[in-house]
Amino acid sequence: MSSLAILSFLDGLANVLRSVDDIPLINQGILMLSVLLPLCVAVSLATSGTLSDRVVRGWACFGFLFPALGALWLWATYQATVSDGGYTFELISETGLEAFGIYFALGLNGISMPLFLMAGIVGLAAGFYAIQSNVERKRLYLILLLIMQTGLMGLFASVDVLFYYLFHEFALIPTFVMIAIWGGQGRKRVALEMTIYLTFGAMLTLVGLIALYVTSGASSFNMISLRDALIETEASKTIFGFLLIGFGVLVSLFPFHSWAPSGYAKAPASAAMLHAGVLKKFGLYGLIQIALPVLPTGFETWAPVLLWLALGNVIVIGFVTMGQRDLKMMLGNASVMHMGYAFLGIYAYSTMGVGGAVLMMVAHGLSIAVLFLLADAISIRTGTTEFSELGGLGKTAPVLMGFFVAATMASIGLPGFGNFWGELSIFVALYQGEAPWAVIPVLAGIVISAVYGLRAVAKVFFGESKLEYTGGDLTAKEKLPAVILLFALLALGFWPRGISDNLNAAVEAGLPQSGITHAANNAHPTE
Amino acid sequence: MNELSTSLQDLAATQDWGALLPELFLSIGALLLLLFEVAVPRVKVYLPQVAIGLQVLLLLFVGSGFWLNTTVNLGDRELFAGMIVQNGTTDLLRFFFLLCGVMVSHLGLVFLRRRVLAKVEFFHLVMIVTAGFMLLVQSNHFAMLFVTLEMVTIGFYILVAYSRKSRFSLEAGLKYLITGALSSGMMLFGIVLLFGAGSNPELSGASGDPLHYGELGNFIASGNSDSLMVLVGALLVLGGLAFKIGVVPFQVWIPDVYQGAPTPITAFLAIASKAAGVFLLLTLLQGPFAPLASVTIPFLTVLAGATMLVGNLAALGQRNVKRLMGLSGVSHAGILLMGVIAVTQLGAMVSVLYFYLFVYALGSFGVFEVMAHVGADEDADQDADYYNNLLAKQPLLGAGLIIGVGSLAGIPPLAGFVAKLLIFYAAYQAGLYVLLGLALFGVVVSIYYYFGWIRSSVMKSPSFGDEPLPEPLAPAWGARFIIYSVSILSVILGLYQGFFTLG
Amino acid sequence: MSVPELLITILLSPLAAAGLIWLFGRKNHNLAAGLSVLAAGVSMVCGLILLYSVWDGTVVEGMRVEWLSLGALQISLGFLLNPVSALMLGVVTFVGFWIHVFSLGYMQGDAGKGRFFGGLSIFMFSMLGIVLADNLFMIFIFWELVGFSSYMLIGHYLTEEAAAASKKAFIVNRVGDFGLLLGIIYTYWNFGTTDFGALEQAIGGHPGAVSTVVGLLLFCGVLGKSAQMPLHVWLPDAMAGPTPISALIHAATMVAAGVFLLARLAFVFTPEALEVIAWVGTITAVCAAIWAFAQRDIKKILAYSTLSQLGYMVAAFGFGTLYALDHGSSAGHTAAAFGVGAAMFHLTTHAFFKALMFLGSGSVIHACHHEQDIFKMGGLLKKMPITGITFGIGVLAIAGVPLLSGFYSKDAILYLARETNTIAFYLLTFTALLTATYMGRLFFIAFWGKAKSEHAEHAHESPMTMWLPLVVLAVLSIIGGYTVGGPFTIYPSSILGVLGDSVPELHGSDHTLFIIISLVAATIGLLGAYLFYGAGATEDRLEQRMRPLWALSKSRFYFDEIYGWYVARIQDRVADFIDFMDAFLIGGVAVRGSAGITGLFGLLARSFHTGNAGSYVWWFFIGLLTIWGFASGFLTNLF
Repeated sequence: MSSLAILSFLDGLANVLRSVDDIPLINQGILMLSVLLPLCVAVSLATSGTLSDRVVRGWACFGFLFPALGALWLWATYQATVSDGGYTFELISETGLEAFGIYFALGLNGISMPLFLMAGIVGLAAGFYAIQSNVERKRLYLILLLIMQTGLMGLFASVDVLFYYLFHEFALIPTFVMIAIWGGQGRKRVALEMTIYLTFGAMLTLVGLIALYVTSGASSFNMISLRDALIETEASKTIFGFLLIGFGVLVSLFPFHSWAPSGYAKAPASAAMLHAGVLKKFGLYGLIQIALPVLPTGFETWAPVLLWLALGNVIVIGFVTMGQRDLKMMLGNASVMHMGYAFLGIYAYSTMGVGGAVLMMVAHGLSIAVLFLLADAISIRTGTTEFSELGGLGKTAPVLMGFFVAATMASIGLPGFGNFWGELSIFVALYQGEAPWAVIPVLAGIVISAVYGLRAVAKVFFGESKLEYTGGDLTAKEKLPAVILLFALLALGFWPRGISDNLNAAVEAGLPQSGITHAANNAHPTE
Repeated sequence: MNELSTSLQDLAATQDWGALLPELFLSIGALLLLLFEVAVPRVKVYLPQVAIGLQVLLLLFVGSGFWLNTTVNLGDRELFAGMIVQNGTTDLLRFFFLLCGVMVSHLGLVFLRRRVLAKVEFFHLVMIVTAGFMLLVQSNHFAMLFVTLEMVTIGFYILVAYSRKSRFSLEAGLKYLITGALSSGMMLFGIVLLFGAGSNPELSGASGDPLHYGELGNFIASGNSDSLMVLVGALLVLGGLAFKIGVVPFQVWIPDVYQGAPTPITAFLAIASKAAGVFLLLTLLQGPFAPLASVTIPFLTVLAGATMLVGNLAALGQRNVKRLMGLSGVSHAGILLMGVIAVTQLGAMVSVLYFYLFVYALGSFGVFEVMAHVGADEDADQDADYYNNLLAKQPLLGAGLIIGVGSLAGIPPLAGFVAKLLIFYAAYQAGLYVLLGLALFGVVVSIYYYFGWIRSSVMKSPSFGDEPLPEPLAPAWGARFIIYSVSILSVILGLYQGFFTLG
Repeated sequence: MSVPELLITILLSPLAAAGLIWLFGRKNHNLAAGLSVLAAGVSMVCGLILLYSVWDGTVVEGMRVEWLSLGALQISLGFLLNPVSALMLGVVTFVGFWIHVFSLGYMQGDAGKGRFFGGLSIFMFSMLGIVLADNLFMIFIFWELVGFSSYMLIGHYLTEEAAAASKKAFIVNRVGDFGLLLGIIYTYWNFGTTDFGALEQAIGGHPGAVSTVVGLLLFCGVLGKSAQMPLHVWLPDAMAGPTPISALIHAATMVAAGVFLLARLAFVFTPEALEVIAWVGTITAVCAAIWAFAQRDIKKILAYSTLSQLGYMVAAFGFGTLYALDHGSSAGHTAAAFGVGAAMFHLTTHAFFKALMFLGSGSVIHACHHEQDIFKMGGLLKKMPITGITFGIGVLAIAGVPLLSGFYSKDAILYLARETNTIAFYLLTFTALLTATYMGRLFFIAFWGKAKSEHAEHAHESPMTMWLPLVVLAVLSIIGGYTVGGPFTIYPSSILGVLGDSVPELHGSDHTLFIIISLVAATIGLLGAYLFYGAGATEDRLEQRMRPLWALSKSRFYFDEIYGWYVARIQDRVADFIDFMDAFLIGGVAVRGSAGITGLFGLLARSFHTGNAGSYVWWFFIGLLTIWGFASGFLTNLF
């Protein structure tokens, strides 16, 4: 009857699950498998000869399902520890680069856990959508997606900086190939441009990481030991600069964003879902998990730049998004804009802000994924994504409309969906920063996003249809992945503590106070 | 002068021939090939296989020996009165060159199968050149160095021009001859200058045998490091080596020769002589020329920077993949050179270079193996469009190409990435920030042409032009074996480097 | 059941209904409708039980559940039940339920019936959330949610018009929320909490603890939600939604949420802020009343009257609280809550008679096959007596005829206005006159005379599900104004705290004076309307005879034109321009440009490798020069 009762029940359930952690080996095994299983499936698909379509689908389905369930399980049994920077389920093995302090190390802490879970869920949705879709050379398509999935799971599960980077590239390359093969009109140029641009970013990041490793003197690429090796020297400013710009390119920080919208507009749906949803968070994750803990002084030097660039994301790209005349381009730009919020959360440099950024990343991953999925469903039915040619789809496809409205509302921060919590805590945190005025333009963002979001809904679903639409409403097979994502968004919206409770400790540990004057950090509001 | 003659006499007197068994075995085998061809024409057809068989045998033999030696480190062993020195590294390289020999021979098999050319001589020459390379890396004396170097170079003169009917091949041979001669002359002049300086009794520390690395080193160290004669000599020698590696400004011959030469020989040039050159540079820089670091390092730094820039930029618009391999090879030479500089300055992490060389060899051999199957009848004509949709037409070739090129481009998680990473790491430690920046720029640029190649191999783009593109051959079991093994190695080495004692 | 359980039931049953409808009800319309009405019924019953038997009027606070805790940010869900929210609770659940019932008939055979009722339930949930929330963050959350449900329901018919209207409503509200959220964040950092209880302790008592700015920022939210000038433009357009929605959301409850928020935060506002608020309300009241005259669409007329009445409430709050600040608790009754009391009182009565009239118009529209132009109706009083009579009662109530509910609440407001600001008093009185007039216009033209169109000709009384709510609401529109306790009031003792004491009661001369004022205003208005327009006029006499006046009213003072101009001429163009610059400068010049330059160098570098053996010599020459340069130490010094 009383919701309190429900809560206590959930709490009890969580405790039961946690008790499983007394046998850590199980969880380590699950972690390992959730990362590597998709790859194994991909390899087996690639090497085995002719298989019946059903076998391929079923096998791939398994490859996507396991990481998601594994991640869910780990999330349920996860409990934050104080030692080891809050990492649990750790497992380490040598790779021959011990001399450089490089190990293959997996583990999860309060920050990576939610993202890991998000990667699993989005991967599952993207996988299901790909499995039911009818692309040509489907087997290759699925193989590449599975490879991506391994990269995505691994990138958040890595405790070793090098492997974190490696897994990122692991997921990045298939994206290029997929755009090159299945992309829309003019894919050649887009794929090439995106590849080169992102390689550029990756290279800057690489230098930054090498420099970080060398200067830290920790003689280890292990995030945990890096956390202890604070760099207070001048070098930290340079290094942070490299990381900020490098990661910035990969996260489409203004003005390094131009690859993103066109890339997503051309990419096949599942690839766009995975890249925009999950892979893009690589840079933000790196800033939070690696750069902030080690380079507080560097951060302080660059904070103003970060602020202005992030504002550029929110305001400039916000207007750009309003100016779009194509649904997919609009979504691409919107995702760029929302990255600005996450950057601002990092700028706030407080548990609230950075935690908010993480919430934002998780929620945005889910919402943008479902939006790209639905956009693809729309273009399948209408054969176009041009606003000028769309309209009136709501009558023929009410469910599609319902989902799209829900997803749009989520992405523009309607309470009840996860994104709201991220945005709210970022706004609140920003006010305590060195530049409280920034809250005003950022809040203007909520109006901007409402404008373009609702415009899209109106153009696509309302009014009279200008074209002959085929395919009717969403099929059950298309519904399933969308429902998975929307449900996750709602769950996060209704119970953010499922993530935030474990976030606090991890984030707080990652924000060394030394030398930070600019943010009021974790100062509580004046009681 | 008489010192030299005496030293030559002791050389003859020494009985260390056993240490050179592999080289001798190769050379004798090579001679036997010719003999049999003339004497017993019936067996002619089998000789190529025999040649490969011999080499593989030797490879296994040496390999196992090398394996044993790693367990018991014998240290440096000066032989033939210091003409030759052997140690773990040279053993490794001899093994490496034998491997190259086998690979090239197999490529030759594939290459010659499609063409009416003399067969046996090809393998004869390859074996001779291999032996030459093996001796080259052991040389500890400029006389030895020059002789073995010429042994290799002259072998290449013939091999490059091997397909006599092809205009390109002949032209390439000619060009290689000209430039080779120029560089040899340069090097020889350098050696002479060093000899002159070193044997000048006026100068302090003048030695009896200044061509011996060690003695020359002592001589230079004893207050002659700023003598113009020494400097010019040293730099000329380095320049000669730079030519072999294909370092700007001595890279100009590379695209033409690489394009014209038969594909197997292109591979041989690209991999073996690069490796040899890098190793020699290293030995000289760490050995006799060590005292000249203040001059040689800036010199090489400039060359390295220029090399990375020119190599990558020139490769940008290439449609002919053989030229592409050549020019991208130039950029790799630049990165290697950067590595050499870093390693010499750090005095550590040498193994990083060998790792890079090995990975580069793996990637390149994979790619060349594919090229040998794809090219048109005119071998020099290797347009990127011939690779359109290769992955669908010949999955194995396609996959091999993607992995090979990917590894060359340094795309994780392939071995090429780790190799680059380690070199960059060394460079950063050595503080070569400018070179590092150029290298990174180079990587970004290189993505353009490498990725374009990969893309055309996965995409089916409409075949323009009237004449149909040549169909790729189906790889025979040997080729399949090679492609499989190099690809798998490239992947494994990207994830696990335990086989190498790096650091 | 205990108070907490009741509250949770009231809040969650609509949510449960919405969930079930989303799962099963999209196809099965009757199921959806049933669930929705059932949930509304449960809420109402529980609400009435709570108000009349369980709850004794003491403030119930807490039942907090921590919802999000991130560093310094603590957001919790909790209930705050005091007379104000209790009254609001009663109004929302009661009116809400009857409108649900009405919808059963009205939405019969609509394609999107399931969607409609789902939205209705979501709205009930969100609205009740606002009512019960105990802190600003929670209020904001449900504030956004009502905005969303209103968006969905306005857009119900999926036409271009609906699209524009729903979009407008949501965006304009977002503009308001922009200020509201800013205010909330400010409050949070300055007082360390947003719980109303804690805030009242932190601020209440010592004025000056809080700056005028906060109050005004929070008031922005009210501007949006309660459609005060200059953010009123969305409300008239919102009539594109189904009529029950107009009744429930855009007349009785949601638009009143702004007023409710003011009542919740009464302690936050400084005198300066109150001045602003009061005047915004007054001006909105007057202007909206003027604009109502040029409307022909029955729903539009009611919409403008809603605007005007909301203006009354806001003004009431402003002046009342100002008055309270001057007088404190004087003259025997607690003046401290005059503002809240008067505003909430009018909110309540208005909810009754305006919902009544909207439903009436719905019944009419239903009968006339969606004919909404009053000049095409006429004579409906005979054709549909129940609707006609109840509608008439509504008109009398809003006109402020004594002994009807509107009379009492409006008088309280006028009284407060007179006590604090004479000009405002005259304006509001004038507004009362106008109100009576245009309502009269509506009533006489639509219901009297003879039918003026086919549809009106064949109109007949609506089914029971539709007229029953009319009757119920009509009764309340009459007796809803009696607050003097005892047998004459419908209000439970628990909430008389708001209405009984906090509403200024007039004595002696004031008493008679205001009766006269109301009577005069009402009679002049209604009579004037009758004489000027005549029963069942076929065309708008104002338009013909006093064109300038009509044009003035028609222009609505060009607000929409200005906003439209801004969107089309400025916002969109700026967007396009920035888009272009982004594509041109960043994507083009910066990115492609650098790529192109690299490509050019590539061409250059390639042109060195043309295979011309002659060029070899030069390269070697360069090489030798370099060697010499370094050997001679010339270049070495350079690098």
